[in-house]
Formats: sequence, structure tokens, C-alpha cells
Amino acid sequence: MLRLLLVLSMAFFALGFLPLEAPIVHTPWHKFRAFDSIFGFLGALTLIFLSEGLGKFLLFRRHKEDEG
Amino acid sequence: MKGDYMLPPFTLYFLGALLTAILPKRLGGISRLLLVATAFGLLPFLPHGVFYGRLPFTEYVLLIKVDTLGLAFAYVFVIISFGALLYSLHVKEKAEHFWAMCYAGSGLGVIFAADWLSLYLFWELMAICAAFLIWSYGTQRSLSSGFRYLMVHLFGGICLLSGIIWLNVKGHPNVVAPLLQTERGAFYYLILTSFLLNAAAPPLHAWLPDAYPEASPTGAIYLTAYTTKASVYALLRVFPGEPILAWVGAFMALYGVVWAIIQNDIRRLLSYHIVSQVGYMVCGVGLGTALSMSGSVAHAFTHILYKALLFMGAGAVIYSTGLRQMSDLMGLGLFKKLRAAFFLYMVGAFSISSVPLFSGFISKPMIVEAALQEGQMWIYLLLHLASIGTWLCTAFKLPYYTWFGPGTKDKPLVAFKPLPPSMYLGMSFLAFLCIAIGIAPSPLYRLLPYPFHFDPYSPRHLIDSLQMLSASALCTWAFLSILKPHPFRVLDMDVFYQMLGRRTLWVCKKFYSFRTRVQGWLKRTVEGLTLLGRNPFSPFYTLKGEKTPSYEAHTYRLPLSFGMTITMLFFFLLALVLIL
Repeated sequence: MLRLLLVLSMAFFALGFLPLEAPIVHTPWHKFRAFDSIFGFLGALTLIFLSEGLGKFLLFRRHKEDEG
Repeated sequence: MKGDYMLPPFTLYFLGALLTAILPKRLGGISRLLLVATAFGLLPFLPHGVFYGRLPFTEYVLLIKVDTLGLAFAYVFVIISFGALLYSLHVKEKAEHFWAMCYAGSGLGVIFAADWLSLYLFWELMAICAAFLIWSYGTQRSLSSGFRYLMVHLFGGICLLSGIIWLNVKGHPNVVAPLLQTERGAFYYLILTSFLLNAAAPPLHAWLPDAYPEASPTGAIYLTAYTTKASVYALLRVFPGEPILAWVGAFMALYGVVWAIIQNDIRRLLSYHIVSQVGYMVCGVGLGTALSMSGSVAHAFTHILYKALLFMGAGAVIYSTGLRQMSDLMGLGLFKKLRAAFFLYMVGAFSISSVPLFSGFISKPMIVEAALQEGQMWIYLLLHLASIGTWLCTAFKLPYYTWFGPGTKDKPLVAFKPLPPSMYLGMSFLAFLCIAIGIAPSPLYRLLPYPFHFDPYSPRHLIDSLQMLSASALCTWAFLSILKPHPFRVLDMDVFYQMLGRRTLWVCKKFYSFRTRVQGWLKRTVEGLTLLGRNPFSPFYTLKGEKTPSYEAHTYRLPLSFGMTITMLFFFLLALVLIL
């Protein structure tokens, strides 16, 4: 599964460089055609560790589900 | 305004509720399906404009507005009620069907209400019916969270009513219309607060992940559809282009996702995604362009369908196993038992994650694209990030740890209950719609009220989406073990609700203790006076430290009557002296 996802990611990363359509130039980063790949990977990484960190350290309180 | 009367479509729902109450179960089920199908059939023929409507059996005349914005919401409200009815055909409890029909009817009432008073009445009715719908599950937790739900929404209702009264005092016409942003007064913020509370905007959102997971698997389907989306409709109607909403929405989108990731309860996780997805819609309202507001309507439409489908999937798991925590479900080998439910759930997961060919792909990017076009870079990034969180949570964490997941040796044996065909029927109906809208978005786009140009399947947009989805999927799969659920319930803003509740309880207890003390003091005084009246010598015994003898008429009658005679004689002589 991991290999399949890796292959797919690389394929779509490469597809981003095809001159299919003029890039949207509202923002500087959209000139970089692999923006969404990088943002997707880093965004997921950030959210996973942010949530985990939040879950472990920053929560006000944790209750056993049985206690409601 | 047209002077003629019209039968509002929501009356069919209240009629359905009435028939549910009086007809036998099977006949009631058929009548509900027929009435909802009739309501759907009526919608295309509704003439546009403002009409009078009279509620059956009452003298109450309300104003009904029919326009493209209201109709777009009305269509999806009717469709989802049909899907939920199919899903819940096996449910025998009349109370749940009754309140579900009333709830759906009042949701439609909000959509068609043209005057503020009618809007308020349906708004409150919706809250009450939703509370009864939660209570109809009958568990202790549903009773508690239903009560909390009602308290929060009654507070929102008070805000709305105060705003409406203020609005009328200021001489505004009693018609639901955009409030001019130049004349912001307290009424403006009261109404906005009320709408945002129903939209579950943080920090007013805790009622949603608290209440929705506690409803029955079938009742929760209705809950996911109406309250928050009626609020989005109200925001579109009254606050289009309010700038603060763009930021509130973007914050909601990310906040909901972050809290969803750390949940263990499958329906609580999905409830946080409602907060997140409604955030997109609120953001679209705030951006105020034709594309963003059309995006809000389109996203409300698709969201109602796929969110109901996701809740149906989760409901199927709960119905079959009786378990709701991923930490309990993982490793049970659920995939072998509920294979079809898994695939149907995944249609909803792909839709909410904006995977091409699924419904979310044609609606959510409209709002993100509108943020980009408006040059709102930070909002664009926040929405993008929230989209990644939705994908990793609903398409990876929840299905993996529910249907698959690593097991442990000490897992208790679970008796699987087979799903009734009605559940598969309801899920298949919505899954079909999610795919159909994703493949052919034109019919939905034609329903939208504002003119716009957006091509979801342009090569650039398609590749950008696939890049993001594949890269975030790769990262998520690599770190999936970190997302392993823990058997804890994570408290959110309900911590503050609980703190407030505890403080309120403390004050109430103090008042109660004071009242008890005053009551005790008064009681002792009255008892003392009574004792004195019965036995005037009792204080002497008390002073001497002796036990007061019980009253004996033969002992005390003579001195008492003698004392009374002397007293009366004294007053008689005094009166005589004063007169003379």
C-alpha cells in the first residue's frame, strides 16, 4: 500500500509539470507546480503531529469514556 | 407580495408526523414515504415569490418566500429525509419517526419563512424537535446530552428573539432580508450570534459533538442535515458578504479537523467534521462573491448527502456490534462482517475529501477557489489544510481502525447483528447520489442562485487535487500508527460548560443552604411560639434547665384563665379611663 501511494504521489507530482493549462498566478507559490504535493505531504504531517501533541499535552482534561 | 394562499411543503411533514402517531406502524411508514415523495414532486412547481400560508387547523398566517436560494436547500432537505426514511424503515419506535418528521418539517419551515416571527417559530420548533429526537433513543447519555442541546439552543433562540424585537423597535420591516452592514447595532450581533450558535461555530459548537453521537443510529441521520444547514441558509439570507464570517469559517474548518483527529468515538469524530465542513460554507458566505456563495449552497447540498452517508455507515457499525469506540472496534475483523457497509461508507469518505468523481469535488473547491480569487491567501491555506485533515481522518483513520486495525488477544467476543435491508437501501440511495453529483454536477449547478463560472474538471484543478490527495495519503499511511485511537473521551469547550455548570450548581447550593437555614429558624420560632401558647410556663422550665412537662389541661387551665381574665379586665379599665 505504501509503495502504491508512493508511486501515485510521484506520478501526480510529475504530472504537475505538464504544460496542460496556464497556472493560476494569484499567489507566488502557484508558479511552483508541485505546490499541492508538497503542501499535501507537509500539511498531513503537521496535522498528525499537531493533533497528537494536542491530545497528549495540551488538553484540558481527559476522561475515561465509561465515566462519561 | 402575492395575495393568494399557498400550502407550504413543510405542512406535509407535519401531516406525516400526525399520521405516524395515529396509523399502524407499517401504514405509517408507507404514508411518510409517500408524503415526502409528494413534497419532492411539488417543489419544481412552486411559483417564485412571497405568499401567505395558513397552518392547517390554526388561524396563524405566515409569510412564505419561494426563490432559488430557498429551493436549493429545500430540495436537499426533502431528499435527505427520504434517504433517512429508507434507512430507518426497520425502526419500530413511533416516537422517533414522529419527532424526525416534525424536525424535518420545521427545518423546511425555516427555509420558506419570509418573516422574522415565522423564522423564529420554526427555529425554536427545530431545536425542541431535535431534543426530543435525541431523547427518543432512551439512553441515560441521550437524556443528558439532549437536555444540554436544548439549553444551548434555547439560549440561541433568546438571542434571536431579542435581535428580532430590537430590529422591529428600530423600525425595520418584518421581512427576512440582508441586514445592511452599515447599521450594526446590538440586534445585528444578537442575530449573528444566534445563527453562528446553530452553525456550531467555536466556541459555541460543543453542543454538536456532544449531542449527535448520543442519538439513535437512525435519528442522528436527520440531525446531521437540518440544524447547521438551516443556519447556513439563514447566514446566506441575512449576512451575505459579512467579512468576519470568512475568518470564522476558515477557523471552524481547521478547528473541527484538528479535534476530529484525536477522537475515539466514531460518530463524535464525524460530528467534528460537520463543524469543519460547515466552516467552509460559513467562509463562503463571508467571502461574499457569487462563486463563494454558490459554493456554500452547493457544499451544503453535497455535505448533507455525504455526511448522512457517513453517519449511516457509523450507525450500521453501532447497530451491528453495539460498540462505538474505535479502540473497541479495531481488530474485530469487521470488514468480513460488514463489507458492503464499508464500501458505502467509503463513498461518503471520498466525497467529503473532495476526491474526483465524488460529490465533494464539485462543491468544496468552489469556496477554496473563491478565496484564492479574492486574494485571501491565509484563508485559502487554512481551507486547504482542513481539507487534508478531512482526508486523513475520514478516509484513513476511521475506516482503518473501525473495519481493520490491529487486534489484541484480550478482545471480548462480540455478537454481530446482521444489518436490515433498509439500512443498505438508505446507504445505497445516498451513495448513488454522491457519485452521480460528482460525475455530473450540472443539474446541481443549475439549482444554484448566483451566476458563476467554475469547471471542477479542468486539468489544472484535477492535477492539483490529485497531487494533494496522493501526497497526504502517503504521509498518513506512513504515520497511521500515530493516529491509533486511545480509550479516552477528549473534552473540548464542554470543559468550560462544565465549569460554568459547576459554578452555577455551587451558587444554587449556597442559596439552597441559606433557604434551608432560614426555613429552620422560622420553623423553630413557630414551634417555640406554639409551645409558649400551649404552655406559658415552658420558658421558666427551659431557663431552669428542666424538661418542660407536657401540657395538662387540669393543671394549667385555672392559672391561664385567671391570667386572661386579669389581662382583659386591665384593658377594659384602660379603655374606660381613656374614654372618660
